[in-house]
Amino acid sequence: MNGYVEAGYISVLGVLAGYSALLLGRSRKAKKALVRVPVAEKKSEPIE
Amino acid sequence: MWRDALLIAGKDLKVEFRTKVMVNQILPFAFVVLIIFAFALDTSPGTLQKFAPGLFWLAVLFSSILSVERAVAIEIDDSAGDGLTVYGVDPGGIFLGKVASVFVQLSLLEVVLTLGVVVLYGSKTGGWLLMIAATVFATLGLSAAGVTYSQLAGGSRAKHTLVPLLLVPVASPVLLAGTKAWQDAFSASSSLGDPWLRLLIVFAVVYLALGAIFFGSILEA
Amino acid sequence: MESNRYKWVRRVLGVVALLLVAATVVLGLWVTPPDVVQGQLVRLIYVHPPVAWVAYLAYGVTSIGSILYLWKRTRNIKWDLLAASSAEVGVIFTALTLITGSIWGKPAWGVWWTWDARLTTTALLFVLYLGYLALRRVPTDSHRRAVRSGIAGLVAFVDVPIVHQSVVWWRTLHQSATVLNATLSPKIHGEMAMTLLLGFISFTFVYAWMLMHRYQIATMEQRALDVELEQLIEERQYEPEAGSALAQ
Repeated sequence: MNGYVEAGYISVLGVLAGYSALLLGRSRKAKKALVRVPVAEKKSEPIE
Repeated sequence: MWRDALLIAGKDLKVEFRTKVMVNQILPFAFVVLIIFAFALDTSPGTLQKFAPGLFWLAVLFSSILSVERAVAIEIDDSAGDGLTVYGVDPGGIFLGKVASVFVQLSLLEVVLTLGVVVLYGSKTGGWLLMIAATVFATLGLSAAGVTYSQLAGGSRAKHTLVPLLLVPVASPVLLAGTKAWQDAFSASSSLGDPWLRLLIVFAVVYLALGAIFFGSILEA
Repeated sequence: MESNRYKWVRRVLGVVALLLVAATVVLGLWVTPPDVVQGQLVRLIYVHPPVAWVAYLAYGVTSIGSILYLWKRTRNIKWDLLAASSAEVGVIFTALTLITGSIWGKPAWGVWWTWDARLTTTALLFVLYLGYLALRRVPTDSHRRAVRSGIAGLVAFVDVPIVHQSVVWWRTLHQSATVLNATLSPKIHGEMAMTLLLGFISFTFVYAWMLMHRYQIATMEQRALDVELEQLIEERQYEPEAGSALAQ
């Protein structure tokens, strides 16, 4: 086309894809942080 | 609320009178800003004269950041503000008092800076009625928005970097309208019906109201 | 954990959004004809206004979330997390609005940037909400953060019309009308209008998906924080010194 149109579409799709990937990554990390909790709880039991 | 406001304003001005932060630190800072504007632009009198209103309001905006941070910091250091809440001082009163104190200090600064732009930049003056009205409302709006944001960011270690980021975009209409109102004041078409003056009034009223409404919640939190 | 229905809604939304965006791109880049006046450049119109609309939509949601948290009768940390999530997505879309506007401006006006009222307002809006997000990053407890950022979000939103009005006057009182109005409204009809409409719908879906995802992350992080805090308190209670001190 004329370079500008491509640049516009690529930046929109690129940024949105990049942010989506970031979201998925953060979501996985947050889930892991939640799952680790029960293990830590078990550890703290013997102290009682 | 109004009595509390007067009390707080009096207290803050007394603190300023004793510590002289405005006179000894902020005022010289504003003065050096005026000088470096000349470095950034050009020393030819026409240029500086033309841009004097904008440069004046930029200098005021920069100084107001320091001033409102100071107004909030004197309560946060030593947790003095908690004392006020314990004594049952009305939060709206605290807000209005702080705004009044900042307003008085900034007005003083503006008088000196006006002399500065007249002497250093050879700026015109005139249309006194519009010029003074615009300055009063711009300063009121700037103080109200500034105190609100300063309190929002207050207490955090990031406040020195956060307050400018929060305040400058919000206060940008004041910079724009103040500059334009001054330009109009200096021109032949100076009148109190100036649209920029109206915008400054709206801004001041909106931010005084928002601050008075929300200041309690900010203090409480 | 996340409810199953929420998960399914989000997944379906994601797939639909992906398909719609793909359709918009295909229609926008290849199917629709070039404009008589603007030529190929008109293709940017299928993304730029929709992206800008989503940015405003996102900030609207942030303000509603802020109000609902600040109002004591509806106070719930969920509203704060929703406001925060929407603001973050909004900032992304505002950045895209500026980028696509600039890319469109270069061939249309010959410059990357012009002091058009809408462009200037959008740029200030961008900084305004970056400030909001920065305020949220200040470490504090969740209630305090919610109140502070709620007020900041609301104050920022109230500021938008004032900023816009001032900038419009700035550009029009002393000069002729804006460039944007004259050039970015070519006569569009038929499949071009359909593609533009599709653009609006598809980016709104993308927003909805991102918001749901971001919100989910926010609630999970919040819960992890709460659990961590509870654990710390519990551990404190079981510490031998603390226990004996209590016994005495």
